[in-house]
Amino acid sequence: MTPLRFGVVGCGAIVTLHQLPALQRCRSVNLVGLVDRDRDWAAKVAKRFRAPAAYDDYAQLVGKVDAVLIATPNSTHAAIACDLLERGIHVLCEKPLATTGEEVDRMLASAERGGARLMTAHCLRFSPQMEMLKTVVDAGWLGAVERVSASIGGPYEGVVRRTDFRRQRALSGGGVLMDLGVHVLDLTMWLAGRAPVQVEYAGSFADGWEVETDAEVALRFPDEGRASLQASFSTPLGNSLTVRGAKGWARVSLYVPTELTLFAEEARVCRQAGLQTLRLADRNMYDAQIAHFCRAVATGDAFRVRDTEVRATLDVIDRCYGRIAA
Amino acid sequence: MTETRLLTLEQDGWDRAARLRDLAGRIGELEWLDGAVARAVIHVGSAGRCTLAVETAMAIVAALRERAPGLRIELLDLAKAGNERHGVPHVTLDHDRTVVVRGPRGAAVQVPALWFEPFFLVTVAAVHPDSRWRIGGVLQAQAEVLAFLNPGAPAGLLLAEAHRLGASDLAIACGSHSTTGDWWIASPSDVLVEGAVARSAGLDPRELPGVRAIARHELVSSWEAEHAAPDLRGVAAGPVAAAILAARERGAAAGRRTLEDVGLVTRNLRKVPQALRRRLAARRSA
Repeated sequence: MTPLRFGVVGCGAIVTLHQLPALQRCRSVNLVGLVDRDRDWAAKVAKRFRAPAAYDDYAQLVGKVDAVLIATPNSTHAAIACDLLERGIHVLCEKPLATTGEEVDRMLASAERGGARLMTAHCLRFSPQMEMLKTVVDAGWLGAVERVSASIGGPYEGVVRRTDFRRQRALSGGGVLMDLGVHVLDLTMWLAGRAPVQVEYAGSFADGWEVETDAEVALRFPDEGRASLQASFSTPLGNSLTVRGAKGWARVSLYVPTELTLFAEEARVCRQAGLQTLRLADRNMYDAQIAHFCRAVATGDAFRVRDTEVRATLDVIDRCYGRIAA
Repeated sequence: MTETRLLTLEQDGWDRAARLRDLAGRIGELEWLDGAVARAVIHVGSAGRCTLAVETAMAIVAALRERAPGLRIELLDLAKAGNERHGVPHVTLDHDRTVVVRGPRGAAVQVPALWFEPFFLVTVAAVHPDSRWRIGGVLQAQAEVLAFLNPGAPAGLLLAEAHRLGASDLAIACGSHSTTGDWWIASPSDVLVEGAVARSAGLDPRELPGVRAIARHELVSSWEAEHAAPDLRGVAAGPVAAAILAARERGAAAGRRTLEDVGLVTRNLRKVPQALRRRLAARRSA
């Protein structure tokens, strides 16, 4: 497979801590340039990760790259992605893909026009415990999914970050629901395999924030399945996800990739020995995500993160924020 | 009325096929096949495998077919390659279709993903002398699935885990005696069958290395049940070889654990620079 010439737009903490090391490790990637509004910072990061060029404008990547990773503040994703996609450059975009469903539609239309591919970097879908959970749910070990509960987040002070865009509505496009809650929303709808018909939302704001710092979302699915999700920038939460089905349950910690606990009442092994803790091979989810993106671009295979799923997630966020009727 | 937990049968001059039909009929009368509702897997143990074990398995297949015509029946026979036998499809163990389960002492074993599905398991084992277990029987047969998926893992661990996670719904030990002919010992309890075989061989079941491996974590079944036992004297291998093999296994396991620990320590040490960088980045941004 010819390596993809890759550029990175935005050099914040997620990029320097996780995405660039993963891009460096990926054999299907040839890292050609980094972009940040702060060119000096881009140059520093480029030197550290041995990228040959650093720019302060993403347009300078055009003609030099096959694909880019966009990791800029949320509200800028759509404009940058649309421009690059129209020029035929494949885009892997940090979550949330956009700040509204309408922006997602525009991005998909641009991808169509430019003949390029667009995937949202919902990294947790590539974490081994989540992959196993999806396998368990799809294999029917738990029966039909009846309830999903999940929580994500902790005090914002502990979040490694280079800028404070998350506090400003104009840049973030939303609060903790948009930033962290989108992870558990995406996982919930991916695992349930369907979009909710009813959405309830409650958010609260801490001092100094233009957006909500705590969010609770309740979803009801067409077949009476339910989900209750929590996200917070103020309170340490469990950072776990539990799926209850008609015939069992499974629980994972969001940040412990190597374990999944489950009880499936019809599973022979659970009838014999009760709940089971599955041990999974440790694998870096960012590595897996980049490898998947490159492979799918090369082969034309579908992305694991589907456009319709991303659109449905943004639709829920729009409903939570009252942009469309819940 | 006392619940029958152990069935012992000898050929007693019967034609083998007729006695096998009789055995399956008796097992059915004891309601030991009632759990076979949607799917049944009949496992024929590889070690000591003989025609009698295969014929016993096929007799159980026939009984199950008669009782529940819609039942999905499959054979698990690691010693025999192929897709089917006498119209019964084979279950194949696939290294790609496994799940790693963490045991009570933190040890992890790969088990077939199949174990997370509902099915009724019958294990048929031909009893034979075994240098590691002294008597090879149903416990060894159950463990061979895990031995296939976990090459090099301590045999004692695999035997105990196979019993804990995948004990048979019906266990049948069988063999042929030079003078009295074929014999069978069956029970819904794998340990009870193993114990009965040991008693018939003139051994205290609690002295069997396999039973000891299980009894380390579990109160094993009472051995007092009286049964008309076939004479199995001489079927057990000597205790010295079993003790040497067990000690060697323990040594190898300790060596492996040490190597694993060294690997983990090395991996954690490699994470230190990145953790420090992360801390510094956090401090800079604060």
